[in-house]
Amino acid sequence: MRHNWLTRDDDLKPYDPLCLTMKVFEILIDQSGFGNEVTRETILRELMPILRALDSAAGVEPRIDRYTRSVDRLLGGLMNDSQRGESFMVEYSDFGPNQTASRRSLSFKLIREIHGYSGEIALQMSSEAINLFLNALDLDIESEQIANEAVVQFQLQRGNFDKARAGAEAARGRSLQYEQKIHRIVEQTKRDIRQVDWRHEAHTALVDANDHVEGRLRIEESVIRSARQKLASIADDGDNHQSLRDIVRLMDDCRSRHLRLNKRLMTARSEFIEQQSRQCFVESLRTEPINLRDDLLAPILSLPSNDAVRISEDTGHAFIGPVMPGVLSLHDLVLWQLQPKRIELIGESEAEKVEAIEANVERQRVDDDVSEHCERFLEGFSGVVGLSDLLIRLEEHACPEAVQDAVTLRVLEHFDPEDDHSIRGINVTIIGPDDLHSKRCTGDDLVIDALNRATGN
Amino acid sequence: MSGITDDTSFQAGRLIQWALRPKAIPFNEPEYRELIDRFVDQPSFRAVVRQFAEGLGLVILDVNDRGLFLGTRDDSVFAVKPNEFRGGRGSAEDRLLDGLVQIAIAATIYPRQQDLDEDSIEAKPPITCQEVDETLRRLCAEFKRRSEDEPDVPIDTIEQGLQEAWRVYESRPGLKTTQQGNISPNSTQGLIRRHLQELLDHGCFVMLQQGTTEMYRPTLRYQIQIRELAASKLYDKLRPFIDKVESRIDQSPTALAANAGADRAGSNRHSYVENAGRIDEENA
Repeated sequence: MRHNWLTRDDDLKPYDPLCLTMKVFEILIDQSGFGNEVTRETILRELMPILRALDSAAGVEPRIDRYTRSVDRLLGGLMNDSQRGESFMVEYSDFGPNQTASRRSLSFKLIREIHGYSGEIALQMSSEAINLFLNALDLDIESEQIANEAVVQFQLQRGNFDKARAGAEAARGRSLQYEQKIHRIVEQTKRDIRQVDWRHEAHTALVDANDHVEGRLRIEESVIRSARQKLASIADDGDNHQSLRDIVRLMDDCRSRHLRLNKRLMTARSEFIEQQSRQCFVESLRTEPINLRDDLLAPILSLPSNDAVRISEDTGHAFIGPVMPGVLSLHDLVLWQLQPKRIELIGESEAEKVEAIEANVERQRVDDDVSEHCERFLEGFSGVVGLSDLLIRLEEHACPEAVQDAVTLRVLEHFDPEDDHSIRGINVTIIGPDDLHSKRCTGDDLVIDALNRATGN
Repeated sequence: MSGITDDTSFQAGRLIQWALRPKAIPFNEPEYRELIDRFVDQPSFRAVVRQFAEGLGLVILDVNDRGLFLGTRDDSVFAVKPNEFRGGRGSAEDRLLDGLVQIAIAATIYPRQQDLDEDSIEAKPPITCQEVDETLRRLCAEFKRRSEDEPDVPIDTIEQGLQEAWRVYESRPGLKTTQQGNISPNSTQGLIRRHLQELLDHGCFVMLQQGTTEMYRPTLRYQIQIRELAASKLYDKLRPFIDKVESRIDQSPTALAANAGADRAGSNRHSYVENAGRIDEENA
């Protein structure tokens, strides 16, 4: 990442990505707490003074857009954005017990984006990144945690508040790691109980985790108590006071994290049992993986269109989730009508205005065979008759209602002076206002005159 | 203590109501947060909420401190009907393209099982209309390559709706612009954009603008929806069709000859997928 950054010849080159990365890790360890999430904005805000200082040292004009680009590039690199956030892969050589060399690969993430409690996208450090930052490659999180807390306790008693604070920071890092570990176990078990050895492994892990968390809570209580006593006993001399306040804050965060974990662990057992019974009774819990692109989308594309439509329409609602059925509310309608015109976004174009008359909506209501009957009838029609009489006659001859409606519609269209769909050789004029009272329509009566048709005019 | 109190049903209804608001977050709503805690803590309350949801044709997909996430059963009043999503357009081709786009959006974000299996709260990177279009066009190109010997489909086959779905998608332009230089809704990218905008309205995506490029990021709700419901439902619906194709392959004289004496058990599904579906990464 450093190499890529430095080989790019642009205005971000003067910044050292390694230095910025360490600062990002520090921010993530220090500021991720309950009710406090680290977002891109937090990182930008915290890095800004450093970037400004670097600019000032290099005699460069400070610019906010450059800082934003720096943060975006830095986080993009740490999250492996070029590979859509996949894990980093590092290959290395290893030697077996009989001195045989083999190539191994280590996959890891450094930072990931998560859906935060507040609904925002928050940043979270991976367990590997915490290890990297704390300079401890030992993965026994529990032992590390105990050791870190012992350091805090010990340094507090000796009055080395700076060292105690460093210990508290490390303890907090461990509590973040431990939380992720427990979260993973519970999630995996919830997903598919068969993937986890419930009887031995998961059960033991839960019991151990419970003991560990209870132990942590006891120790953390005592550390906080000691730090508060020290805080009350020393005069306000600046640095020491600040260190002690930081210790209380950090240990408080560890404690609330562990309290939550404790609660999660207490309910995990009943949750597992519930999942177990639910998964036992599911008809066929799939064991094979489903790759959305290759196992679902590709086969659907190869199906005949009507089968593909049936499948996609049957499952469409599963992609969207529940939606409240729409009910007309006059209040909402009025508010909607009063709202200002929506701003056109980039890429949007205004829909072309369609004249209702051009849409020919009435004609679209008529099926093709009904329309055909109607046209045949009107073609063969001769003489002079009122629309009301014509409709009575059609009714007497058991003409379908749809055809009656179509005839009425065509005659009305013909009467309209702007109408383009005239019927050949027919004149339609009004004879009596409100005289039409047929079974299916009322209004002004019209007279249909087809006398000219015989002469061909 | 049984945990059932006088207000249990009322509170269960309140929790379902909160869950039906896609943009409500427990972090901002103390009542929602308390009800989630109660759901996690009290098995009896959990049971009432489940029954309540069941009665409404809803299914509880997941619950965590980010919310209670619901899915719908086919007959639920809360299930979106295909024509509601389409907004009036209803030709067979339109219906097909709508379905393909919906699936392709999910497949672009979560192409593999492991993408869905990763930590449930991990946020996936945003996608663009172009990326979704590319996912579909790559697959279409692969199908086209495989069917070079039958480039045209008879009119009868098209009229009967027996033309393969990829041919319909492939025949539409990917990107067509209007006179004002905007994306035409008649192009596939325009259609994808319309679907993403709909999903945005339903709280399944949030939009980010990077220069002139619109990027759509899936929300946790969408992630859970796909992982816990859509993927498996789609698979279940597709399975009978896969079985049908497999049996056709098995019954063809060439397949019978090729498979004679071979152990077929367990290999059929893969043979179908390899023959009809799986796309090699290098080809893609």
